[in-house]
Amino acid sequence: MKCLVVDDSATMRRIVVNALKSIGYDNVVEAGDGSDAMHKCDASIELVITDWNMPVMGGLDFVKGVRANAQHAKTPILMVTTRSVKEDIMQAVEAGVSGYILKPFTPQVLKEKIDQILSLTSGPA
Amino acid sequence: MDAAQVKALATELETTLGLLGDLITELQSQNKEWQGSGRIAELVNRLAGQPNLAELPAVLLRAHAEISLVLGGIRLTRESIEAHAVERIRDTKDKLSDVTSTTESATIELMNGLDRSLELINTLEAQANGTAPSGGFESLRRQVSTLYNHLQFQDITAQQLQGVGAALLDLETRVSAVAALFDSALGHGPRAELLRRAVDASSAHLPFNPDATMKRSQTDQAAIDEAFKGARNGNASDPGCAVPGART
Repeated sequence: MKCLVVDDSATMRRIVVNALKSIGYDNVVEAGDGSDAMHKCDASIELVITDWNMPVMGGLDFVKGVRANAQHAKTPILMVTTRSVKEDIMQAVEAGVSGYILKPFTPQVLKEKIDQILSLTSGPA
Repeated sequence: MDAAQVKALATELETTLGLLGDLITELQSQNKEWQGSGRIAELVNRLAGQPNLAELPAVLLRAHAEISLVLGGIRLTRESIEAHAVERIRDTKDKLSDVTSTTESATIELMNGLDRSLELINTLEAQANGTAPSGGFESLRRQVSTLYNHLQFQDITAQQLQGVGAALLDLETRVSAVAALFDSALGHGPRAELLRRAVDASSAHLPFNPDATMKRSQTDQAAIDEAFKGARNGNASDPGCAVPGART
């Protein structure tokens, strides 16, 4: 499965990529902000993991942009962020996010969430 | 109006008062009939009875000297604000940026070291060729992975520092606006509007979250999961924070 990891922090991207590799996801593309990610989010991307607060284009706008593309109407999108208030979660759901993880996270939480959203998207319509 | 203009005005006033005094004396000496009759006689007598009017030019000159002293003090204060407060705020912002880049570089080096450790573990496991218990190598890998994970602190503290930087930028702007008020008092420029600028409370559009924190637990993620489920099921009316203690 090809994953797209979006975060303006190089260290955070590396941590997410490392966590993905530890749970068996080796095929990873990275982007430093939402705009960069929009260019890299082609039809081959099957899972998106994105931060919220980023320069140029933030995570929320990026998710809306991805969902506006019919190719990615159902692509699992995980928001991994430090934002924890209810209004933020509601905004994320409205934008089309499939799952929400609070930073700092563990690889176990990442695996659980990925398994959860993949099972939802591969389930019956 | 500068000192020369004030002095000229005071001299003019003194001359005018002197002429007025001469006029009063002349009128009084001209025709004694004027003194007892009508409005002119009343005005002349009242003018003659103003003992402090002659002091007015000297008073004006003293007032101008005192105002000049105060303006000089205001000018010094404004320069002091600029030189000390604003410059120090800028230096502090620069230092915070340095801290962020230094910790980022150090964190990447730590990650490189941990990656090398993982490779070493794999090499040692291959060399052991089944002679050593595999549980030991797996335990080592987990330890390295845990250490890797703890390095998330760098992203979170960088966001906190960016928040502090933004607050300093706001402070710098407002201090500069206060200094600009002194410019207005010195007659140099328009009154600063920046002091009245509203503070934007939401950080959703910013490239950082000033409320980012390392103090998270499994309970927090569970609360997030509940809120996420609720939001997906359309519980938009439930107010409050997803995570106890989180700022709205």
